[in-house]
Amino acid sequence: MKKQRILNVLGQVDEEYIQEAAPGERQARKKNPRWVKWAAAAACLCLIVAGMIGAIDGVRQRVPQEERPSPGISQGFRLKDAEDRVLYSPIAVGDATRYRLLTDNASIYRPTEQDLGAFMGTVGSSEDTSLVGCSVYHLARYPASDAICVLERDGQYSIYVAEEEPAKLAYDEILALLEIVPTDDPRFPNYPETYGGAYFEGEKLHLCLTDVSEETTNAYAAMVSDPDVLEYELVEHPYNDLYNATMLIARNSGASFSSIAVDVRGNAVVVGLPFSPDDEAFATAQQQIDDALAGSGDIPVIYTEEGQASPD
Amino acid sequence: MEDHQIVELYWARSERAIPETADKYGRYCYSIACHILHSREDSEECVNDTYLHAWNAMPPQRPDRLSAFLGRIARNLALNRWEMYSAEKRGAGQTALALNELRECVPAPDCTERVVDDVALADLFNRFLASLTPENRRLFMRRYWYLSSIKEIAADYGLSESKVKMSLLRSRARLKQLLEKEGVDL
Repeated sequence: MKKQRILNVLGQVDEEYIQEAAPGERQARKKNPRWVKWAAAAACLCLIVAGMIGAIDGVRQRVPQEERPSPGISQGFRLKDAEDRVLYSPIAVGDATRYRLLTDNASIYRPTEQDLGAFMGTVGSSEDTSLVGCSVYHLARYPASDAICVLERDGQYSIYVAEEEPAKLAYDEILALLEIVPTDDPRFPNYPETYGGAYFEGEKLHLCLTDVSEETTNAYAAMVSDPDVLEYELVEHPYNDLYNATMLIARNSGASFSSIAVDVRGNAVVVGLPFSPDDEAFATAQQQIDDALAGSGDIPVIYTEEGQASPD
Repeated sequence: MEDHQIVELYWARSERAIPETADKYGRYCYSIACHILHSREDSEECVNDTYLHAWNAMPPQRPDRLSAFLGRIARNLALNRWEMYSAEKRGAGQTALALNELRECVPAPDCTERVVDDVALADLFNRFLASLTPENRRLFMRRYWYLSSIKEIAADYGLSESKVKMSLLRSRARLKQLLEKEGVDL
């Protein structure tokens, strides 16, 4: 009830702060280029941050490959000034099933103005030049997803979905079938003990597993539409343990740090400290973190020097 | 249409006020309600109720920031509805619904202490928000006022989810510290 009261009374704060944080008031939208960002991360250090891995939006079901729109389909578009250059294509039946957008008579749901969520951007390029400059919005029922959107042209609305790479699709399928809860759910992280994380490299999804026996790998392969995109790696620590270690450090160490992340490739926790390794404070923070982790297994922690801690 | 012109329509009791409001802020209010209720139908009803409440509130009120004024109404209505549904799940069922309907007919019990407390608490929250950096404040408000998901906030601000969570963690710790310092018992 106390939490509820905070939530309620927070409603009465200055309107200035409400307006300042309004979704439409944000500065130039920096879109979250999931695929490109992850691929880039894999290319350099592959730090898959703790929260990202559990982020699931919408309802996912397995979708037969043949129902997915083929790459390069005409009348797709890319958003103007988008960093990730994702190609959006008209929604196909398979996607409509996945997003629960099939009507009772099995046709694809036709959106109306009521389905428009926040503004995403305008069409920058398309084979159909008449689409250029049209407004694109989030679909209101999936407000957090960049993978599905509504295009407005001459007062008509159409749903488009982002082309998904097979590796990305496989990752989504695994998370969905394992029923991994969102990061803000108290049950998170609820990965199986065999799961040590995953990262993208090239067109493959690398699954880090604490057990790579045929039985286990077959179980993961059975979850995806295209098992050929999976590569398996043996690691020591389950992802749950790595994630819980980051939480222990954040909550209990009292140490000053700039960042904490799970390094999936290194099967370790990486802590950025705002001090030089020569600085005494560096060693002090290391000690505080080691103390916080005492008794929680032998989770490896990698310390790096990383700028200054943010003001708060 | 400019905000002050829309407010004038309410004051002039012109019915045009509603479509003008819907046109400019309908989507904004819907988005707030939808984050809380996750239901299209309920969110739409909330938005319609928001217009009704705005109609009843203006006059006498003349908000400086119409968006925040409407957003606040939408948020309160959505939270009320959400609480009602939560109560239903616990088994309070129709009683909660009926009480909620009757609440609009019966004057609220005069509980001055609680009201004063809420006002004081809101003042404390304002001071807390003022003490945060603009970025941390926006992240805090997006999470706890707009009830946006971490993922959505991270995408909107171009930050990693861990960075958003870290900022929220620190802001919450600061709020707790302030509440303790001021001896506020919720």
